[in-house]
Amino acid sequence: MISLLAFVISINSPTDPVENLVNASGSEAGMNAESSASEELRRQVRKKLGLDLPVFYFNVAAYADCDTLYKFQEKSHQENLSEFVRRYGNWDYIETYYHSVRKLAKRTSSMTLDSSKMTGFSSKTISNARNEMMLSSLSLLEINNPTYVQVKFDSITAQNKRYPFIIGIDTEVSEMISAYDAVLENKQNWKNYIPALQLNGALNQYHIWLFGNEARNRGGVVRGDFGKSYSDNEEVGTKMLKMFPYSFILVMLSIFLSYLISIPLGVYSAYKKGKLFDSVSSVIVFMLYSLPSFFVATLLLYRFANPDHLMWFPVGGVKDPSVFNSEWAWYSFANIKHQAPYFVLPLISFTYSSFSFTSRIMRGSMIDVLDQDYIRTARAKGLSEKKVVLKHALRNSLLPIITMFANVFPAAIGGSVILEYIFSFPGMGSGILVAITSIDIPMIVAVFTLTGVLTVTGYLVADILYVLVDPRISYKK
Amino acid sequence: MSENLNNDFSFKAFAWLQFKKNKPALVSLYLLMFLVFIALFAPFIANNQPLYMKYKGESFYPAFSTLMNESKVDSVYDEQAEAQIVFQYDLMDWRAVELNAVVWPLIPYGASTADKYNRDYADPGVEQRMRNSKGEIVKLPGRLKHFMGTDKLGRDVASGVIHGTKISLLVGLVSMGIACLIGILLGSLSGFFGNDGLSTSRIQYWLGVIGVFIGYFYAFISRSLTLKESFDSGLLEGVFTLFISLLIWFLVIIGFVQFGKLFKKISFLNVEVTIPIDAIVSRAIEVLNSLPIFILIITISALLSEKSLWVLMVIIGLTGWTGIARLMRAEMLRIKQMEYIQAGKALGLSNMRILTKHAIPNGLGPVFVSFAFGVASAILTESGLSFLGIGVPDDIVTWGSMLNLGKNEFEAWWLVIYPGLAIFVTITVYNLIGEGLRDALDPKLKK
Amino acid sequence: MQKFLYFFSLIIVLTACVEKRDLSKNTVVVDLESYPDGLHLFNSNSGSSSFIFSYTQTGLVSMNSETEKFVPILIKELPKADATGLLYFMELNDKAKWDDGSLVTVDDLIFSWKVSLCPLTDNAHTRNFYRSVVDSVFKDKLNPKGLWVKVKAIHYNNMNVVSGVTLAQKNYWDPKGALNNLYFNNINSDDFKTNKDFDKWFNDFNSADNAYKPENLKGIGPYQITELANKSYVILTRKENWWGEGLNGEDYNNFPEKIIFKTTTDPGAGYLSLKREELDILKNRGGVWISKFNRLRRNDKFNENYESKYVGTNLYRYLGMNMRPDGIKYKPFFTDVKVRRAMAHLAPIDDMLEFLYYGEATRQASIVAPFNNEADTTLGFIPFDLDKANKLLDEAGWIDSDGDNVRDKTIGGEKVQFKFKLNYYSDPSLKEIALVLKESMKRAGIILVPNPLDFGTLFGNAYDHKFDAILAAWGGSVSYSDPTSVWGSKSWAEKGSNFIGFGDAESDSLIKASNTNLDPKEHLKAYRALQRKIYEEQPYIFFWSEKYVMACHKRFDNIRFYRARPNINVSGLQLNYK
Repeated sequence: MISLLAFVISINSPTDPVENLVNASGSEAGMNAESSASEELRRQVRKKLGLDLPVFYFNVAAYADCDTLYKFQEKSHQENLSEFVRRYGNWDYIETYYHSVRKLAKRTSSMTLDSSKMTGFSSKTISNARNEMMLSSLSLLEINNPTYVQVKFDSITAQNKRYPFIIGIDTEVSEMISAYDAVLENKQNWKNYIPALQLNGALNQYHIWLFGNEARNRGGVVRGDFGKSYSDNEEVGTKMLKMFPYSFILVMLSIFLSYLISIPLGVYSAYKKGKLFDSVSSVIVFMLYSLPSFFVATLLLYRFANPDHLMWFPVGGVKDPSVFNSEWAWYSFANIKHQAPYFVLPLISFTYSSFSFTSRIMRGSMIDVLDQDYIRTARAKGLSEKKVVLKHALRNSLLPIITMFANVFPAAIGGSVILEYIFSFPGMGSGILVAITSIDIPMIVAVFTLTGVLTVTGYLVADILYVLVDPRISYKK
Repeated sequence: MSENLNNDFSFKAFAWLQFKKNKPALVSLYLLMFLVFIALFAPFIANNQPLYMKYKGESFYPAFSTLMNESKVDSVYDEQAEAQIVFQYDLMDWRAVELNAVVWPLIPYGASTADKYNRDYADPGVEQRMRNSKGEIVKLPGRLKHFMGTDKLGRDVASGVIHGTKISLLVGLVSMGIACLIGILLGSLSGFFGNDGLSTSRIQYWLGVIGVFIGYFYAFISRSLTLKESFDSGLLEGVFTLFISLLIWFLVIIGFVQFGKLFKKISFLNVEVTIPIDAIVSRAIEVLNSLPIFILIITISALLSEKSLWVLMVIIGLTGWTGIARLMRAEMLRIKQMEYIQAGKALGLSNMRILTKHAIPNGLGPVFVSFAFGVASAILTESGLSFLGIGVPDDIVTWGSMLNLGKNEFEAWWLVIYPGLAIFVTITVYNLIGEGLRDALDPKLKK
Repeated sequence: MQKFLYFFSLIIVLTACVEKRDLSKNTVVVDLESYPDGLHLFNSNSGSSSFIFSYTQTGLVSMNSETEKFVPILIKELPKADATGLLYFMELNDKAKWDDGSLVTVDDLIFSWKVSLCPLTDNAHTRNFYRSVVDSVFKDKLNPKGLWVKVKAIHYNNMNVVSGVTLAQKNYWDPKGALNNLYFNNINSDDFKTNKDFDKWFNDFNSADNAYKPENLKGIGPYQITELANKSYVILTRKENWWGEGLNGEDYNNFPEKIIFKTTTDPGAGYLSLKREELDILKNRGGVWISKFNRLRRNDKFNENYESKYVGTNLYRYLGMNMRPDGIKYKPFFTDVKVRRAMAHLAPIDDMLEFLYYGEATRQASIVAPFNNEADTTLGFIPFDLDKANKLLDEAGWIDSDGDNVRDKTIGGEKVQFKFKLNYYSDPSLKEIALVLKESMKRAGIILVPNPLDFGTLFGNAYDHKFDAILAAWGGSVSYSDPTSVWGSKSWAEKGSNFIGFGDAESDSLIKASNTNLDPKEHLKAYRALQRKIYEEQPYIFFWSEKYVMACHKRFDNIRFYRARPNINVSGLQLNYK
């Protein structure tokens, strides 16, 4: 379900991933590379990414729509064609027209000029005329508004007439214009108002993403293959496997720490309700709760990792490659000793807000429980205050906190985007941020899917913990 | 009925009384009013144009005139030069002009206007410079000082904090407004009717389901071109067309349902079936809750081809309604059992009437609480996004974008501290109000 | 309360654990601008991967960083064209050995060319370029060490291309000879024919393992990649008994035992790690880093520890104006050269250079950086001049006719406001430039709307001519860069890098002359004429060629910074730590 949602989002992204990949070289190589992306290259990239297939098993469309629109090379052409259909409803004619324009575009880009008729024209005019012809015909592939189309038609015919050196495109031009006229004459707008269900079969992007396809070298998500990242061609699964442990450890540690502090604090301040300790700690906790974590993280970095102030902790990352020895096992003392300082600042900024949240909840639920009749009974029985609070009340007041534990797993992915970014922590959060800014769609979709799975896992774990804590709940029937 | 209303009224008064007892919440409420005041009057609190000035013997009100007068151009006759001097309010550097008298706003700088003489992170504690009317570079007098420093381009941080108030309040209110609308509607429907409260004939039910798809088809697929063209020609027109599309969708569904009435005579088709509205809404909430919302928001705003504050608010609103819907649902479940609702039913009032006139108004209490907390989290989301440099247009100064600048420039602590504190204060204010409201509206305390 | 104390004491214990780097070790920690997009020999082509390859690979030729001229490394002398100009000959010398001890052979070279040209390799970006130049490669009939490369057309740059192939060992990658039946006429034909063997071999070859597993990342250079840590660092270790050991020349240096490439994405973190001496080398940083760096250079401790310099580059920043918009959605603002000139007068370039770059960039008048010896230095810079800009805009017909302080003009019966969008990559330093320009344009009644975009959308729109103006940069190499793709008029119609629609017959002929004249004098004459032509037409506002920030820790001797890539002699650094 979630993966489908993520899929829908990614499909609607205005950026054509093909364009993104094809043009990626522009950044560094710039002038050296012959960077004009050829049609052939686009086709190859499309096929490699599996974008030459329909998106889903079926789609709701109008009767007029073409059911194989996805086969067209460029996203802009696809969009233009579907708008064309909305305008006139007669796909057959539109297709003929489209192909006639393509033919003209192809012809103009490889046209040889008649040099014998060039006299009287400056070389500038000649070169401009040729380019203008070419772009006019190319841009016709992307426009459908009748006024604009007419403008382009006029300019093409006018130029064709004016410059005698442009030869050999008369048939193409007239073919194109008559094809367009045919489109206008045979409007079938009624077709746009009849809904149709287009069935695409199993050879579609979603199916291949989920179940894989032998011929396309895809294992599918069911076999743990999330596809390859657009930005660096690495397997998304491998990538996530490298990042996930860091985030998971960070979140687990932070939850552990925050429970360690917040449970006693919550219990104590509930016990001392209305006293000075309670009000002071409440105010502090409340302030912490409202402090934006990225603000705190920036300040921490500024105070504790800056040689101008205190250089207690490293700036970012999780290890120093010049000290770190790759032969250390992750559980070895040397490794833990080396990596621990890197976790301190992220841990503090990650923990304080959740700790304040949990301690507030803890306090609330403890107050509730202390009001209950059975506590009064226990007190009346003459049990010591310590025993009443710690034995009877605590256990029951832990329930709301356990519910929160369900969020641990999804939080390992999404909870710390900004913090991981600030501390250049190589976890899922910074990974997904990079993926999003570079529009690495397979990665984004994979993260959303994984979060869904982990949320369910979280609920499961919380349920199990419920059973452990609350003897009244039992799943045995 | 009337007694019930009285009760209600007294409860409101009681809640207000309770709220007033909560000192931090009350202070927060005043603070919030102050923030709203700052946001509304930001152009008169922080502006690089004087509030009042006397120039060549004539009085002008630049800060006000720029808002009123579109051309922003005025002129004065210079007797010495015997010529008309034409000037444009927003382009003049009024510090470099000899004025007979002048009243500056509290912070004499605009949020996005760069002070050429104090750029490259002017320290608030260090001497700052300006150009006077004689064209000399002199020490900036204390009154005109950037007392919160400037950023690299020389934009005043204090002014940025003031103008950022407006944006953060706007983000909070608009996005939570949207979230509230959706949340209240869905939550109350699902809570009030439950899985078996809303029933209809079988044929109408299935025609309705078909109508949803057919309506979607006519509203969006058939009109895709119209929609695109209207959005191209302008946001307002686009929203209008979108609204028409939604209307078409709605009408088609209604049409289908009404059409189903014709078949009522066939008994097989007239069997009563219930609409599991509660299940549908609960599933939707679950799905949205299992998504990493912050990542979802980043993804959507990064994929948009253009950055826009309004779109950002809509996204935050569309993803933030689940909490309100859940609360509303729980409240409806409680209210449903109330005597006055039962009485209304017994009187033969229609379900819709009971829902809109009695159930929803009485169930809004927790929504206020959730609204206050929601505004806080929406502001946090927006500033987090600006901090990452995603979502907000580059020429708008927000608290988060200032923090983003500060993060890269450790020495310029003023770029971190002041906007950070502003965010902190605003969030605290909303949270405290939310807290106060919760305590005040808590039914347990009603006794 | 006690828990808090425990917590704080825990922090203090951990603090004691922060290990400091041992500065006496012969390990260089080098800052990397961005993590490479893999380290696949052929398929990875980001700037970072090519920088790392310069230590793990050795080319047939290499550019001497001092003289900026090519010198032969694995071949006896630089490739020479025969009389037709279409055939290049080169002869291998017997120096270089692969890791298994075997010599580099002509077969390896042919194999490498096959892989780089074949459509089945995932190197779409470089392949297209190579395919446009190289036709086929074959052995010399007599000389077992001789190789001929046939090119498609005469071009000034052919020699660089012909000798620029990445080397791969045939015996290692293709021991079974799966590609023996792959011929150049098939590779170069438009309908390439493949078979199962080829498909399988290329599938294995393209796999991510060959880009990320250190044991697969073989090369002929002095260093071996030994560790890749996810998105944070790459470690190179010096090879034992490397073939080049003991040879003289900068290309054979391998002093550091280990080179660690570490990515720092955040300037703040980079700044701190320099202050903490966690980095030995900071290199090729521009934009927002300049202000940080400028601050550092005022710090005595930093100067004591680091040797630092700003190094000029061939990367120039510009504002490109769409000269041939469609006129429908994108209005013809900049079709008139007067408007373009006025825009240039409105850009406070000197001012921006002074305070955004602290003077650390070089103003540039046309397409070549001024310190490059191919530049036409007679072209003057266009100064900021509001009055002149206003006059030019008035002349061009852009007048504020409705008193709203925005210029307008009636084009084809429709009143058009001078309000354009400036597209740029979403980045803090570009944002600053855009905001300064916005302020400045406002003074002349022009509304500039900053429009930051992601990389794909920015260039996608640019190639499709769907923009008003674009703020971007072009990078070139120290040697001659072919202007065709950016300035040729055909490149505009074919949606190439000539986004803005520059070019007419005159400029095209100048480009052709400078490309095909192998005589340096004629070539230079045409090239300079082209620069002047572009300067006069003003399709871009040329800002400056940027400088890179370079720093190296003083615990090394023999620190040299260069303008040519890789900009610093990492492998030549000698430890002097006492």
